[in-house]
Amino acid sequence: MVRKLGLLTYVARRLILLIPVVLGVSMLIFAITMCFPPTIRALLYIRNPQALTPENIEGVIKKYHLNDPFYIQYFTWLAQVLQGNLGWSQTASAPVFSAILVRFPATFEIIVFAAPVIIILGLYLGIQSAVYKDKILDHITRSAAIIGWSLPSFWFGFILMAVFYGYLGWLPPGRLTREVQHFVDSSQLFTKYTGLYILDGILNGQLAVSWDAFKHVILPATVITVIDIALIIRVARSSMLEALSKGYIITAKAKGLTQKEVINKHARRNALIPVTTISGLLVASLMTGVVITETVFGFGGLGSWAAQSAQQLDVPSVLGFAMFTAIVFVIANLIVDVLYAFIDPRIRLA
Amino acid sequence: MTEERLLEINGLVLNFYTYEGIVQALDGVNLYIRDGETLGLVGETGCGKSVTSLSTLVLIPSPGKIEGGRILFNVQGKKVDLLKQSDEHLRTIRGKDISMVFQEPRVYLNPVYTVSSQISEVLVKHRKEEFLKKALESLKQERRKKGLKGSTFEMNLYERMLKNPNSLTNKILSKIPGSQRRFKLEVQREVVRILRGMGIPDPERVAKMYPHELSGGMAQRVVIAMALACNPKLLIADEPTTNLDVTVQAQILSLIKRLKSMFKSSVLYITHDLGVISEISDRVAVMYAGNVVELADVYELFKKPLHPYTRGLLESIPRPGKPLKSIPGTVPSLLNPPSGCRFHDRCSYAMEICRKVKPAFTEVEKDHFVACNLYGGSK
Repeated sequence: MVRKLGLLTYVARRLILLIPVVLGVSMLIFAITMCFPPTIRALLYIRNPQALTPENIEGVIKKYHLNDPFYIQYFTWLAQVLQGNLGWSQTASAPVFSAILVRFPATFEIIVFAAPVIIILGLYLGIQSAVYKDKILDHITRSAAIIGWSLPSFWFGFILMAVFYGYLGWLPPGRLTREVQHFVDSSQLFTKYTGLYILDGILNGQLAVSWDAFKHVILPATVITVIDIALIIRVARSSMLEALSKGYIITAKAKGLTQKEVINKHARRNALIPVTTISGLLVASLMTGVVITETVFGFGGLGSWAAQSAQQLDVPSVLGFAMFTAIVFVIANLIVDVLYAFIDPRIRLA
Repeated sequence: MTEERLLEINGLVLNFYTYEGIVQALDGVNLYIRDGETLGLVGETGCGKSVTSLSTLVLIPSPGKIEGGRILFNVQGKKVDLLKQSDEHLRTIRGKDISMVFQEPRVYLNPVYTVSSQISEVLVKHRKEEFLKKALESLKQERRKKGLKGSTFEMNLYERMLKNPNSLTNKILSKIPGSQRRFKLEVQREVVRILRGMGIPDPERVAKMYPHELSGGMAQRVVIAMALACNPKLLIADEPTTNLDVTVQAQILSLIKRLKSMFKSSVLYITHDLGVISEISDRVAVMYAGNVVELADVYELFKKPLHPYTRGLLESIPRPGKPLKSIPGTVPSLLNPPSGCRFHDRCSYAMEICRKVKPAFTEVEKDHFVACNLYGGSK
């Protein structure tokens, strides 16, 4: 009972700490906007391009206090951000906020498939590698991981596409086949509940859409998995090796436990902590876009959009993306911290 | 006195194969422990005390390898060579017949599990049947009191588990939450009982604690509780009091003494502290650079040390008003140990022969063994 309460207070405390962090990030981003003249900053406040013509730009500047002291500007801006107004994205020809809302599910769909494989398989392989250190299994796993990590994603993506699309014709690029995309965008029978087409297909009873979307997700998810799994394998292996060298492992063996019990109970839980940290950061960075992979496969996710906006000096898009990235990382860290507390009782006290 | 030897180590040779070369950590270790006695194993840091104790459990840290010798242990009246047993058989001995207490209690307790879960693990491993019977019995009684007939799912499960401990169905059934409630309760009760026996105040609360919430002395009591949970025949205590305050050290020592007489276990007590040795042991084995150089009754050894190293060791105990003596030279590197007697270059009695011939471990008087060329032990 006491323990559960301890965990709850811990989570509550972490949640409250979120607020100043997000505010701090917003201040940093706002500070960047101050590098631009008011005429460009005006883009951050409008909801459509017609709202900003040479004639009414003065009106916008006045309305949003763009010539006033920075603290007044900050609060005006923050009020807009809290209402979901992040300005107009030229790259997406849509408000920044809805551009993110449309593109995030695409990226998320890839991650939903890649991340569990990366984390669970990576953890498993890393642990096996540590247990059979310097044996054949360890060498194979480590070499495979290094090869995966060193593969350039554009090259690996092209090879996969050449084989599975060009040669076999199984797995096409893009997010959906053109006809399916048309159906999804315009049919009365299809409602975009989540923007995750696989899930929406099921919710709408259109399993063909789900299947089509799934076929498009496989290749990008594979590229990401093969490349990023190396990170988890290496962290899992080294933290497992460390755990296996600890005194409590000798205690566990001296108790007469089997090798399996020693590894699965005593070593693994201690090895999980660094793996949790890295997994959190990895998933957060994947969520905020995998630029090259998305570009190679023509998969309209967050990463490709952010890269385009940066190229075209689309200030509101880049800043909106930065804000989104910050929030994703803060949430990922929160989840990691809560998981820590579950895994390691010592952290609840800290 | 019966000459029943519980443990007998003969000519144990252990090498570590490191990148820098072969470390000859144990070079023919000989010792034995009688039923119910405490053998103190003394020696400087790095002389192979801990490796000897881990070898007794056949838990050799890598890259170590046992290259020779025997470790005879009395299992149910039969002497078996532990080095030749299967891992499966060894697991039934570890934690049940031989258990171990370590130097740094908090390092040897798993930080992510509670005290109770770590102790109950040993109980479930080695005394499962006993607790299944207990749980079944108490459930039966309860139903009889209520005047109910028949049996519940839980009772059936226990009966099946008793009949057929390795069946897969039973393992799956026992995973159902709540299916082993009474069994776990019985184990829990035993944990608390054991902790109370260790002189731990408020054992119910301590059982729910994590290792980092315990003081050093308390953690050591928990480790001892874990080691004694199955009434082992041999308790190996590897410097269990070295890092504790002197007052706590005294408490732990008297605890070990009391428990030893209660459980009639033998103890192999490892330390570098001669004061502790004189306090706790019946006999003493002195180790130097991978060899046991002298083995004798504790009074005999303090009164009439034979080996020059033992003498040096006894003289280097600080005494008020007397200048502190020490043995000249340093402990040799075991990567490249001295030839012949490993002590010869520090020994003031060294003879020509000591450079060439490794002295044999001989019984010069009754129950007094020494490995030194001075006593004609050379062969």
